[in-house]
Amino acid sequence: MKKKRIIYPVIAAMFASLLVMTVWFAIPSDEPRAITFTNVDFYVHSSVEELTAFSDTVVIGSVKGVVGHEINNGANTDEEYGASENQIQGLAMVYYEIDVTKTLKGKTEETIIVAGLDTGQSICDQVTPLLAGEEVLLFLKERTEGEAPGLKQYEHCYWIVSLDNGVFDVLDDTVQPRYAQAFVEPNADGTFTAPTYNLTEVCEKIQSVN
Amino acid sequence: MKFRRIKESISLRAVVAAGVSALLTLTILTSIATPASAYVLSGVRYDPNSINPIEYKFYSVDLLYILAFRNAEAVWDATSAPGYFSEKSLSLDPEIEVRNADFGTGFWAITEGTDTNRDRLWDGNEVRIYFNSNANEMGSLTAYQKMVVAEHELGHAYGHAENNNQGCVLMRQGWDKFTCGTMPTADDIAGVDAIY
Repeated sequence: MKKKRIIYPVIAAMFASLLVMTVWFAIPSDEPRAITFTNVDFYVHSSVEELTAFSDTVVIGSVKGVVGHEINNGANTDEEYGASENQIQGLAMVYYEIDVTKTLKGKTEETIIVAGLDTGQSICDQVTPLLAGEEVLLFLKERTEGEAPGLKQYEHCYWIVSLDNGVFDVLDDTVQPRYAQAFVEPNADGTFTAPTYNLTEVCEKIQSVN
Repeated sequence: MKFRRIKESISLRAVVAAGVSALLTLTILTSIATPASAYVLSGVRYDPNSINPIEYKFYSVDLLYILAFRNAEAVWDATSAPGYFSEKSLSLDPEIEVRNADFGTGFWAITEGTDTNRDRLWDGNEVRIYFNSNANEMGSLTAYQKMVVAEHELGHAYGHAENNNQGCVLMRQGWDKFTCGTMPTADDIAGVDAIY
C-alpha cells in the first residue's frame, strides 16, 4: 500500500514532465534572425613601430562600455534613413567609451569615444568587441572633418587602425595583439598563437617612433 | 638450437618494432603535414545553379572603382573558376551591389551578405561590396592595387574567407597580395572549384 502511494505520484510527475517537454519542443522557435557575414580587407601592420607611425594617437585605457550603435548612416531604421536605391547603405557601427590611463602618442581627453564595426550585428573574423573592464592598448586615427559623413552620434571620435590589428590586450605588465597573424607565422594546423610582449618595452618602442 | 630460437625471436621483435615505428612516424607526419591546398572557405555561397552569370550593378560608384571592379571581373572570368560575372546596369535585383564611400579610417573594403535560413546560401543570392574611398584607405591605393582588392572581394562573394596561412594568395589579408604576381592563384581558383 505504501509502495503504491509512492509509485503513483512518481509516475504522475514523470508524465507531467513528459507533457511539458513535449509542448515545449512543439512550440515553434522565434523567426530566424538574419546572420550577416562580413569580410573586411585592410592594411595589415606587422610591427608596433608601423602601427604607431600610421596612428594619430596611441593610448592605454580601460573600456567603460558601449555608448551607442548606428546603422544605415546614422539612422536606426530604414524608414528613418529614407534609403533610396542609390544612397550609400551604412555599416553597422558601435561606439565605445574608453577611460584613458596613459597617452603614448598624440593628445587625448581623459575619456574618448572609439568607433568600430558592430559585431553584434554581423559575424566578422577580424573584429572582436571591446568589453567593459578590459585594459587595452589602442592604435587610433582621429576622425577628421568629412570622414564618414553618415555617422551622426559622435562628431569627434577615433577609429581603431585596421580593426583588431590596432588592439592589444594589456595583462599586468604584458600585452598581446588581438590580430596575432600580423605578428607570427601560422602553426602547422593553420592557427595562430598570439605572442606576448613586455608592456614597458612596447611603450618604449611606441615613444621612440614619436 | 637455443641460439637459433633467440635469433628468430629477436628478428621477429625487430620486424614488429620497425613496423610499429614506421606506422607511428607515418601517422605523425600525416597529422602535421601542410595540406596541398590551403584555401579557407566562409561557408556561405551563391546557389550553384545561379552563377552563370553572377550579375552586378554599381550604385553611386566613382569611376576609379568602376574601372577597378570591371578589370577584376575580367581577371576572374578569364580563369577556369566556375561561373562568371556580368555587369547589369538596369538590373533591379543584382547578385552583387557595388558601392563606394568614405567610411572613415580602418579598412579598405567590405563584402557582406546574410544567411537567414542557415542554408549556407546568400539570402536572395545577393551580396554587397563596399569600397572605402577614405584617403587613408583605398583612396591611397594605385589603380592596380584597387583592382586586386576588387578581385579579393569577388573571392569573398564566391564564398572564400580570408587566408593568412599561405604567403602569396589573392585571399590573403593586407598588402602582400599586391606584390606577388598574377592573381588569383591556383589555390584561390581551387577554392572556388571546391565551393561549387
